[in-house]
Amino acid sequence: MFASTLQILLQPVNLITALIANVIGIIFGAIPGLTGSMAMALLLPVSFGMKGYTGIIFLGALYVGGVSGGLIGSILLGIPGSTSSIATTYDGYPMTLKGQSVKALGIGIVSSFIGTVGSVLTAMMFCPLIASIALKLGPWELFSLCFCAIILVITISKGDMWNGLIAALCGISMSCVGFSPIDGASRFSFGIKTIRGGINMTALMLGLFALSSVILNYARRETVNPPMEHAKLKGFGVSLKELFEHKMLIIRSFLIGLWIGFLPGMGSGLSNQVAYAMARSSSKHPEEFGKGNSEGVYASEVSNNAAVGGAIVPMIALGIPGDTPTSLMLGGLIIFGLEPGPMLMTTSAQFVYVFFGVLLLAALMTLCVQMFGMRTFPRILQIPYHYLFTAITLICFTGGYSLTNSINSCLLMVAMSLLGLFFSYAGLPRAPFILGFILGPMLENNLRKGLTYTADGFLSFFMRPVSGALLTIAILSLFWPALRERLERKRAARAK
Amino acid sequence: MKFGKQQNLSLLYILFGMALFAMTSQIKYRFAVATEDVGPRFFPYCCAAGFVLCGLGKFVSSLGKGSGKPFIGSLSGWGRMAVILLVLLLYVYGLKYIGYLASGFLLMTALVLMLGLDRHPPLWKAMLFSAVVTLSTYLFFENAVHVLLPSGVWMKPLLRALR
Repeated sequence: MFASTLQILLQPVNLITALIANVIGIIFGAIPGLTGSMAMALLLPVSFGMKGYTGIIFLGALYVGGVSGGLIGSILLGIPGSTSSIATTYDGYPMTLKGQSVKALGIGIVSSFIGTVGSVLTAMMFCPLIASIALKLGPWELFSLCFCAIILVITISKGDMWNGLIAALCGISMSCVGFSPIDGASRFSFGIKTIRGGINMTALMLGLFALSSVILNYARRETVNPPMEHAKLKGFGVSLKELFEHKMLIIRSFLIGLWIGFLPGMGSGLSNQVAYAMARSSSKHPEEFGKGNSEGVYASEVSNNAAVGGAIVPMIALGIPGDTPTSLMLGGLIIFGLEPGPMLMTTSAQFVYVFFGVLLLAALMTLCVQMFGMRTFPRILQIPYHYLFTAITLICFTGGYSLTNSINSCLLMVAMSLLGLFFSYAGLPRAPFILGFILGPMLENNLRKGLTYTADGFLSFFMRPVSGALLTIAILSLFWPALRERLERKRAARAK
Repeated sequence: MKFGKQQNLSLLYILFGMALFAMTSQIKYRFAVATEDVGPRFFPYCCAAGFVLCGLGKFVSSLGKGSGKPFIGSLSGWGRMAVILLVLLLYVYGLKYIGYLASGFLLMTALVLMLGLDRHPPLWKAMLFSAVVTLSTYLFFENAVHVLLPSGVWMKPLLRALR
């Protein structure tokens, strides 16, 4: 099986297809306004015309390129290309501001590679086992996991925790716009067609990150690009020694990404934020996070790419997609005549191994493409701010428009930029907001399902061991900073 | 008693929570899917309660604290913010009436001149850059991505007359 898979992958037509798809994925992932998901949605019909395994190879390479490409925009411009690289901006962009853009890119590229390869290998070996564990998780565990993730991200909010909580509540409330889960009642859309189905995530992200930063920089007269890195770095700029020093951080972020990736409905959009929160809370220098600490880039990039392999597991083994790109890929696989589910490994084993193989190949291609590009990408910062960000603004608007083919999406982006300005004014952190927005529907859906499935009501969330443990961790981490402060004050008073 | 910025914001969150509570009570639904189901109002009610509680918590915790760094600093900064917002809004409405190409070109020219406020880019350069970028974005989205970009309500008769 291994030899035949390799033979298929190494056919010139398949290699060239994978390389082209990978580069397209990286470009779509890197440019704010275009996303890897958009590339998949647009190019899915192209893959249907491809013969044999080529179509699957095309989709797999596009997927990996799209997830990995997001780090370029996050690090160089401070604008995440997709939700999977939001946490990369927290320390990646400050590193660019400090003139360490190539170093940050190097860390991101190597971390992405580690995350993808490790997770795909894990998925290949333990696919049925992991899928069976994932199946045992009910709405109680999924609710508690979402709740715990939001609280963990709140605890890393800069300043006070109230701001973090308010930001998360803003995100959750905004996710209530549109049809409610389960019964489909219309909520808070006020008759506006554009938001009847909910607020579009991409429009929200582009308005909140890209437009609001352009507006604010103009208002503050900070319209100058960060400096370009001139230091000559060897290879990726990351030594093996440095990787070894961060081994625990990498392993932890990898496991977080993998675990979150294979939970249905969750993916790299959540994993990068949780891994970042964990990295900060376990760091010896948490105060350096957000100011250009390389650990933040390691955590975010390892975990979002680890979710790639994670998300593939439920898709292959159960036929349940983990996130948006995998749901598009699932559609593609079905059109290719495959039936993702427990029988896929026995009926179409060759297809499955080619699919896993192309993910590994695409990870390697991404590494090579980005290695050649990592010294060239920062040259974008040599373009004067007024030209660069003007072009980005237009691309963002066009990308936003193309989501729904409606001008109202552009209007929504401007509204979201106003929200971003309010967040800057009020000092509200964006991470809990985004996470609240992503997880809001899942929180509500699982809460209502959990309450409906048992007669124990809210108690059922505490009675199940995994769910109870997650809720306890969440509650403890919420109150721990205040408790620690009080204990320290008492200790200091006693010492006096 | 005079409140600072943080206390005012706290009051805003409380007010928003109350408004959300009122809006939630207006949500209409015809049936409950199960007897134990809490319905579509429960979650927004929780959010509303959260806003009120967090607003109160923020209010109490921010008492006696300063308002921190100024957001923009000068009145002219606020003016610039209003102007750029107006330009973005005009662009969005421009899409509808004069179409993607014309409004994109105008937006880009305006933004290049505005964002390059200290560098004073020449008008011809700004216009040339705007024309090239707008046209290439248009061609990319129309031909490669197959997105039909707006041609503009006012431009349609003009184009028809030209044909």
